[in-house]
Amino acid sequence: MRIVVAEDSPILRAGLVGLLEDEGHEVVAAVPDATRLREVVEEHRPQIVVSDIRMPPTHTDEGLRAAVELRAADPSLRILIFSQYVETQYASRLLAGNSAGVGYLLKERVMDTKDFMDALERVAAGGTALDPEVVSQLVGASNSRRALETLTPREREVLGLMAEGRSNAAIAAALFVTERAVEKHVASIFTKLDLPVSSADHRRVLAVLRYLGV
Amino acid sequence: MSENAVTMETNPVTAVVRRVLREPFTARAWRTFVFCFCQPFLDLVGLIAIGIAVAISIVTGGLASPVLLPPLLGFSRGLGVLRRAMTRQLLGVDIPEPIRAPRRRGALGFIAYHFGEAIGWRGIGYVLIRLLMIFEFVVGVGFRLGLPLVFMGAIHDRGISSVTLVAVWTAMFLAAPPLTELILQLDVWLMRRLLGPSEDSLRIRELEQTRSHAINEAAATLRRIERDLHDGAQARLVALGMQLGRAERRFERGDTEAGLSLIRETRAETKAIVQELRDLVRGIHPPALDSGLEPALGTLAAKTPIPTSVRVGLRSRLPAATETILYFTAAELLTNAAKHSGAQAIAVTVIGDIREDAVQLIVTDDGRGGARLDGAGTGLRGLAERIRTMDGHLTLVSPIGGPTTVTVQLPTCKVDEGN
Repeated sequence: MRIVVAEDSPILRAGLVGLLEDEGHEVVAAVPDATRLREVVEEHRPQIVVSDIRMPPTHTDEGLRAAVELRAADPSLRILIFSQYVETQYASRLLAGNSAGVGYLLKERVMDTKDFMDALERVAAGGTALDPEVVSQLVGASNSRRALETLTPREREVLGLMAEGRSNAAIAAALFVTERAVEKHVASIFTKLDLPVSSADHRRVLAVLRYLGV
Repeated sequence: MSENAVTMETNPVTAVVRRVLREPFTARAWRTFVFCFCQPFLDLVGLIAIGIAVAISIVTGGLASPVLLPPLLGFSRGLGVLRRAMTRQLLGVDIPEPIRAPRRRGALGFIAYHFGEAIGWRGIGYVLIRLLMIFEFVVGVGFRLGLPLVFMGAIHDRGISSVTLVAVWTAMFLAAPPLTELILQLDVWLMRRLLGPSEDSLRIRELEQTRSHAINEAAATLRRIERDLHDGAQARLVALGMQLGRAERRFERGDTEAGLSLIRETRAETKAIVQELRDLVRGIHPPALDSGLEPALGTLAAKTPIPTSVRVGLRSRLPAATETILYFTAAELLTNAAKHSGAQAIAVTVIGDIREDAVQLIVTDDGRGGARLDGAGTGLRGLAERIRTMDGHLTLVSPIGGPTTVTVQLPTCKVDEGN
């Protein structure tokens, strides 16, 4: 995959590039701020952008704003945003439009190489990857608490994994159950929460997120 | 006196005579004249307002006074504004505006705000005291115009020759400016006390300012620590984890050599993180301070690139908060000296005063001097602000060519230990 990395901390940038190259990806550019990010995306036309949120000059949400703009200019561009903290607001802004091929992860998720690569591939394939931490905060802050309480613990687990953007097969693997069992849980969740049934993974994620109030 | 007068006059007596002759015609003399001329009219207006209010109150058996008092006090405040403006314009003396206390809650607050309002009452007091200040008008206006003389002349028309009259008038005319200045000094003194801010209100304002400064400072410090952690240790730990993840993958693939080299890098990185956290901790609370101000300052001196001597003459340990602020003040002053002074040596001295309720930190260097409190990049102003927060003050003596001495005085009794 051709990847562009935007991260202001030199040490993290180097680490990220090393990690991606180790895994056989091509990092076409690694830049320290959002302005340079826009330039290199224009120049190299990568498949996927991996970007930090807080970058110079204001250290607030530069990366996110750049991501939203880049997506508006080219909806086929995949973007994986990551930050040090969970900010559900950031997640909502990123997912507000078209959420296919968008991911939002916490930085420490990068340490688990396999999970990170999974998320990257999911986003590259046009899916969604949300950090479990983000999802659990969304579930916690949801204004549809009462309906959520009708779910069984297992169903809530499945809902969380769905919101992260995982497919039935991935959920089955994560929970050590059969795919059939997952399908049953999903159907039950959709009925209980009164969600429109959808087969495409990322549209299913969307439905769940809308439900959670993103 | 004009410049050529200075060069021309060799005889001091002629100089004085010239000055006395010139004085009544200076712009300043005319301004004081106008000032003295206007005052009785303002007094009259004030007295009439008070008189009307008192009269109506008496007639209505006191019933009208609650209604009349607030506007009378407001009027008195307005008169004060006018007088301060005149004093500023005509006498060139700036009397600061008094600070009105905010309204407190409840009925008592209402009464205090509208009936016990200090600025208005003090203004009324000033109007009454001014009844005794008639001589300001007599001297400031009368002496110049010869009014008393005309008066005397009218009574004793026959006994006084016109030559004497002119001589007396001339003497009064010449004596008017210095006498007026003298009387005006008394007036300004009165105005400062009665029309200016009270000492309590000034103190309250000072406390409000320093408190808000302290709050902002604390917020900025937290923000800085957050940034340092976010950009420093936290980012490095993530990078470390990332590297360990990569090493793990290499081992999984059987590439032991590459995996090992990554692990070695991580170990070096861990040391760097520990060092960084140590620096950060030192910035929050230097561990050396735990064993006392003297060893802490000694450590600081050892790290300063210019030879620095430390002398601490205290009989007992200071409150922790005082020690901390002295330490950081010294640290900042030493950094400044190292950066800007070009000095060969620096001396840091801490002494307590006799009653042990104040402490002084003196930092002297033999550098090039010329440091200024408002100078860019030295941070001396911020330091002075921070010290003001603790009711202390910072003085800077730094002539061009040096030496530079910064003295910080802090009270020790006001600082609570806290928890």
